[in-house]
Amino acid sequence: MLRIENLTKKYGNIKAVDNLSFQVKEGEIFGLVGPNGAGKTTTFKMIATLLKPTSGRIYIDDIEVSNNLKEVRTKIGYMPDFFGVYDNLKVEEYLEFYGDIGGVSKKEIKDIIEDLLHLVNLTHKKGEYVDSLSRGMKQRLCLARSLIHNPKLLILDEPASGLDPRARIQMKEILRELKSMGKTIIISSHILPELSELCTSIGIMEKGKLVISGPVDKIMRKINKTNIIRIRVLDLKKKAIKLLKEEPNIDSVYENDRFIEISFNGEEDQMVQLIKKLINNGIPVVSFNPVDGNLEEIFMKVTKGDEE
Amino acid sequence: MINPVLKKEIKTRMRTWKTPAMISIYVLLLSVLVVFVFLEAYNLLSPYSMGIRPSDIKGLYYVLTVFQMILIVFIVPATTSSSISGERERRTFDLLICSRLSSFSIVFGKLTASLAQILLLLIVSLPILSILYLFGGVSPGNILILFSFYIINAFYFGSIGLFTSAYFRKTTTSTIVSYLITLFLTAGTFVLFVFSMELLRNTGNNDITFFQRFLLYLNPLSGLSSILTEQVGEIFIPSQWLKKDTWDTLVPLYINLGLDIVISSILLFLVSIKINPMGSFKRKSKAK
Repeated sequence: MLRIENLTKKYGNIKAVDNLSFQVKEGEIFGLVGPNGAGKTTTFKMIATLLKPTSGRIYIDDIEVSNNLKEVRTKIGYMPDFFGVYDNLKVEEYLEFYGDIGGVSKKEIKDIIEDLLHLVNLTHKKGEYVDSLSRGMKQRLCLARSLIHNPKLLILDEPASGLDPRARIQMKEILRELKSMGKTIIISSHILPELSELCTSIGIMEKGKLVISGPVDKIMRKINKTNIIRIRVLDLKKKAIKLLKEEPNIDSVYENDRFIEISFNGEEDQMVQLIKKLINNGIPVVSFNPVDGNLEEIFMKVTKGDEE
Repeated sequence: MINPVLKKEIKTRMRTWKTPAMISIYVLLLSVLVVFVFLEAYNLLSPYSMGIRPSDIKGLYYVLTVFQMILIVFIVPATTSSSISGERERRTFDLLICSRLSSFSIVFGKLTASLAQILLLLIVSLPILSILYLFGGVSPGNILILFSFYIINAFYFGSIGLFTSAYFRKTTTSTIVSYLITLFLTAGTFVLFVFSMELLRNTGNNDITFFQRFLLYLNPLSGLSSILTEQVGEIFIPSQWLKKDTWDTLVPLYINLGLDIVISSILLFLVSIKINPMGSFKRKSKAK
């Protein structure tokens, strides 16, 4: 769906985006994360045809962007990190205008607006002036706007920035709904745990470069070789802890009322051996759950931040 | 299909207080002028008034047309100089640009919205101009030529406003620059012409040069004076300097309007290039 090859954007001598390459398959949700100034917005703007790359190529649906602007623009829906609205336009008229410039036919527009307002939960605000809406509502309206011409690829730059917790949850729910509708989405956000739940794959950017990218679970495995595993046993807890402490692949064992938590640094087959060993020694194992780390941890591990 | 930008602009502009206020002030100024000219020129308040002489209606026509031109020339930059920079400041520009609308359609929509507003002003001024019909001497054909002249001038000064709004990021700067250009084209060219005439007179040469002609043709007064010379029958400045014996009276008007259209087209082309982020003529962006 989206293919980026050696994308570079220079401002004078400064490289805002440095030789970036990645791919997003159809139906995937790709999260681009990175500290401020990493080049996420610049990358998104280049994909959205709003900025000319210094070098490199972007393909959307196998169409090269720079030479096919009109065609590409029908395939993308862009939601910028900061945006404004027109005064003196009502919610319905606002969407109608963007439908008009997005090439939506007059016949379809009313129905599409109804559906989108329902999706973003703004049906009751249809007749109100856009500038009277709250920040969260404007964000949702902007998301509806980006969907008005039924684009294949959604480019969402920090869609939850500046929202209160309730509005964030609402935005997250809408994004989940879009995910279930099979939309291809690229999204950037600072709210990393939210991305880990939502994205199928992620890319971590720092100083214009992609430090790491791929499916979320693979990246987690790659970075976080040490897995946290929670084991619940029905009985013989002391014996289980003793057995676990003998294991060379276990760095630490922690116990509480409900479970035993181990820090395991082996491969998956060694994990299987560990389960076998516990069972063969008569330990009544109820559950054996590797605990997912979150993107926040990965992000902090991978990026060095500004202070370094 | 109506250009979506034009449709949206008309809708949003008509909903502000500014548009009705502008129309009211426009009509009020024209009305006050007409009343003032009637009272003053024809001495209607005096008990010895002889009434209005139909021939004097020419004077009123002359004053009204020039006044209306000045109003239009100074209203248009106000409506266009914020059209692109305003979108940028409002942060709506990116959303407009990444649609399937071409840069030219955006520019065309913005300009025609401004022209539509001028057309509205001209239409509401018709009842005032129709007072002149009471006394004869002015035909609907005259008004039609005059209005066409105004519209082309609105196009000319509108393009200047659009150009400055595309090339300057801030609306304030864009408005100031567009008014400076307007002032140069209306008053500056005239002053420069008179100054250069003085220089020429000292050299003993009475013919005006190509550069001087060009200066005058940039000024909308050259076209208007040509219309007035044709319609009122008296020779007005600057058509007095521009006319040639072999020429029809309206030739300076055609040259003036032709030049306006050429300059406007160049400016609109440059605006289309400027607002297209992927344009091949684009300069290197500056670091933020």
